[in-house]
Amino acid sequence: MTVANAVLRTRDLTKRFGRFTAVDRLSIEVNEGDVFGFLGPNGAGKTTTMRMIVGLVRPTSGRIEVNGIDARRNFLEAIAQIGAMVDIPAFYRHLSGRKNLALLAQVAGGVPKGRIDEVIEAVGLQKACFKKVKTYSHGMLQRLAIAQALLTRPPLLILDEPTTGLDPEGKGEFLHLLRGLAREERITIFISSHLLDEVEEICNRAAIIKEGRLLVCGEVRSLLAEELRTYRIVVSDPAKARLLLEGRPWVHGVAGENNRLLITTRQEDARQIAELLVKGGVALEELSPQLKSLRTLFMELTKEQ
Amino acid sequence: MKPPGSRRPIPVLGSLRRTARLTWVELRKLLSHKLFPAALILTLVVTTGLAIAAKAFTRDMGTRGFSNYSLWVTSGTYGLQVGIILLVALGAMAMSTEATGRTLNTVLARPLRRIELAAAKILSLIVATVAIVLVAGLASYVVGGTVQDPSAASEWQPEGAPAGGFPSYGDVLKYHPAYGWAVLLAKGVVIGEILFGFLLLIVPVLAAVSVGFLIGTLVDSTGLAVGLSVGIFMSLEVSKFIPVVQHHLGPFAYNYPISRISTLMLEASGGTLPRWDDALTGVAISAGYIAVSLAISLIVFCRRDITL
Repeated sequence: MTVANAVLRTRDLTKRFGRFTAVDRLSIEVNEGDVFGFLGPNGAGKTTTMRMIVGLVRPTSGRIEVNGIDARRNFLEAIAQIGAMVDIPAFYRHLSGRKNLALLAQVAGGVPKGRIDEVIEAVGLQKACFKKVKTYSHGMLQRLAIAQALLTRPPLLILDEPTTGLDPEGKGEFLHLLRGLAREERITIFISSHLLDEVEEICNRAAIIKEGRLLVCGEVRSLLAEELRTYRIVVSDPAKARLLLEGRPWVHGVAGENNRLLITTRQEDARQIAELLVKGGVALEELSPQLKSLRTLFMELTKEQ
Repeated sequence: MKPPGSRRPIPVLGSLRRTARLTWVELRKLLSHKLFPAALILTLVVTTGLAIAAKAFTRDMGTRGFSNYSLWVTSGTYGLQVGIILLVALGAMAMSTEATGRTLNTVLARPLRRIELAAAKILSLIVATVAIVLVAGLASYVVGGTVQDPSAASEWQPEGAPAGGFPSYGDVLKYHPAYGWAVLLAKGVVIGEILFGFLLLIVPVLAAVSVGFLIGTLVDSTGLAVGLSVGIFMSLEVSKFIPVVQHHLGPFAYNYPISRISTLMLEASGGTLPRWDDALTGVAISAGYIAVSLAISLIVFCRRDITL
């Protein structure tokens, strides 16, 4: 049964390139109004997933639904619901930004003339739109990419690593723009990124994939409130502390350097850290819970086993 | 719920509409790109330049047997060679520039089918090919073909011609003014034959462009695609001067009809009715190249994963 407000849904989506499985039975749901973060290390299958959704890559198996429309059977109807920026923003460099938009509007069809000015204004390219694209900075190209994705007033915006290559100021402006689009134009945004802090800041839901497989998916808040937590300890003998902690079934990770270590464990097992170290003759100077960030969760989930 | 009596649009019509729209976009892109206008201008300049030079040469040398229509055909077909090379490059670039520049990602993530985009690109290349052949044909006619040259050779002889015939149309008109209309008719026939030749030339030129388009579809690098396409075309042109290759393989090469048709057009310009059937076989082979190249291009482009 289809959930009424699922704007994008993949079901057992799989892509194999020869013997290599890039995406493995991926099932996610992006609901109306979501700013959905799609996270994963390099080569995890994020871009391949996005390419399958917009029809650039044929899925080996599985299902893609956009607003309840089967994208593999009714591609034209499904893609009409999507505005996309996949990979590096690419345009006709010998044309101005405005001419590029006019050309792409004509390719899409049914875009009123005034819409081009609207999207130029929405992304703040009024001054630069008459310049040739080859003179654009990376930030301007990203803005133009958003503008072209918005041309058809799509209910779903798919953005593949849109902040890659932007300076901190540019990233801030770009995220501000996305936030504005989600809030003011009521657009659902499906965004892949490496910039976990930013994703944590703007996304209400997220999925993390690795080697094509979905690791977690859900509300960002609930993902961060998982029972595993990280504790910082300051000890007199970190090598001995490591030896004592590593290999314990209730310890899910030991990291850090010098006399400061980060221990990942369940909240109820935290007291065992102190007991074990004291019994082992290691002086414990500090034990404090770390506030978990999306970065911590990401690192925990995607680290090599 | 649909209102009563509302009809679902016929998919084919929608597809044709989108293809027409995309063809218009492709033509705009072609015009905005420097290479196509450059090809038009170069073809025009080379064709008219050759015609003017040949005219001056024949006048200065007092050469007989070189009619104004021969000037038309010679300058038109040689001028076209420059246009063909640039057209082959355009054919190779049609898909490969979209791949190299990654604009395929932007264009294909829109409500359109790949076959519609490919068809639009092919249609725009056909328009470009026809435009270049027309420019070569018309420019050479304006400079070389329209100027009345009373000494132009005529193999056509009216009834009552002296022994040995009239050497030129001017001689016919001078000695038998009553035959003016007949001369005009004969010239009309000659013009018709030459125009038919230019029309036929579109097919082998299009074959060269189609092979370029196929290479551009298979190879993502623009430089490599253009280099390969132009290289293959130039090699085939050069092979015309190697008798053994020309004898055995020449008739099966897609560029073979270009020189064959040019020769027949030159015969027509001298007043001899050309035997087109020899060229038509070559034209049919060229048409085969077009069909196969475009079919492979469409299949590859429509089925491939875009992972640029």
